[in-house]
Amino acid sequence: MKATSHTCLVCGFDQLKEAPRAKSGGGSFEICPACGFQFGVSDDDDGLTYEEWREDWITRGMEWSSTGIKQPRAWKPEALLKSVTKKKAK
Amino acid sequence: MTRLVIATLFWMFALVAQAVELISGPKVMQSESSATIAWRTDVACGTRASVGTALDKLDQKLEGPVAADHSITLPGLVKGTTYYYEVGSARQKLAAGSFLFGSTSPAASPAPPAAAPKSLLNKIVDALTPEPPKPKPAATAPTAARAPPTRQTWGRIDTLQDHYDRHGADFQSTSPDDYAAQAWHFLQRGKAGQVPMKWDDSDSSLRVYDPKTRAFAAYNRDGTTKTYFCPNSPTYWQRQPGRPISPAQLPFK
Repeated sequence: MKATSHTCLVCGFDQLKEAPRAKSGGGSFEICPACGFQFGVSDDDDGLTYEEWREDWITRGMEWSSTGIKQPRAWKPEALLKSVTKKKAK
Repeated sequence: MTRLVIATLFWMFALVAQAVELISGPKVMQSESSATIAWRTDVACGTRASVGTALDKLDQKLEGPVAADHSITLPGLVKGTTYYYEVGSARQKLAAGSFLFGSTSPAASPAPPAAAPKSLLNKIVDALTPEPPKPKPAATAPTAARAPPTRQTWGRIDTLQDHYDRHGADFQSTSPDDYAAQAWHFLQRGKAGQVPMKWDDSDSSLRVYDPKTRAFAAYNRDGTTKTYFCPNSPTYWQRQPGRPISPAQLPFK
């Protein structure tokens, strides 16, 4: 059975293992391996918005964040980023 | 436009900096070859100072213990040199300033206004940086039971390194395995009824919090760990979803 993937609301990485937010509103506590945002911590504790983190990540060159999870060969941050910024624009 | 950007930056600055407040200082006390920067915060938090000989080159990082009264000693200073510094915790910069080493006026001077936007950037970057060492929760005392192998206690093993990199310093963890073991010990305290727990039915996750040490952890429905860290926000636990749950009601042993 194929596991369901979820999309990072910050950078558009589409292989998160959990939904960033549960129905209760609680964070998943998953750290996006691409941009490094931790849902439920970066926002709920550090007070950063998705936009703030995204801007900072872009400024830092959109580097792969995880040291434990390998960067997928086909990972194209610019294309994935468009998927979340487009949704926002709609 | 520039004013709008500056106003936004200051708003973000205030938002991020709300958790810990500077009560007094920083004061700079000089001796023959060293200087000590001291400051006080409203609550205990990590101690960190970044020091350098230029405002944009604070390349020396020094850390101290978790406390409300903080002090960092800078050894081997050169007389006649102006040193710039920022002080705070790993996640928050609380103050900045400079001093001329060897001068007869050792009081800290405020940093130039231009430093403010840089401080905000540092705050955002700091969110990626783990907190300096904090006291280990009581569960890690020598009398505690030995934790099972990490692969049995951590939910997704490929994520452990990232969680350790970010939060391991909160508990003075010495390795990813040590960090995972501490998270498991913390769960045992919850199961023993020593710390409060919340169960979120919407994703079947368990949250555990120790108000004394401010340690927080989230676990999967099978009891494996999702994350473990010390929140900065004093209202973090109150804002977490879920209903209080007793150890007997947990779906795992």
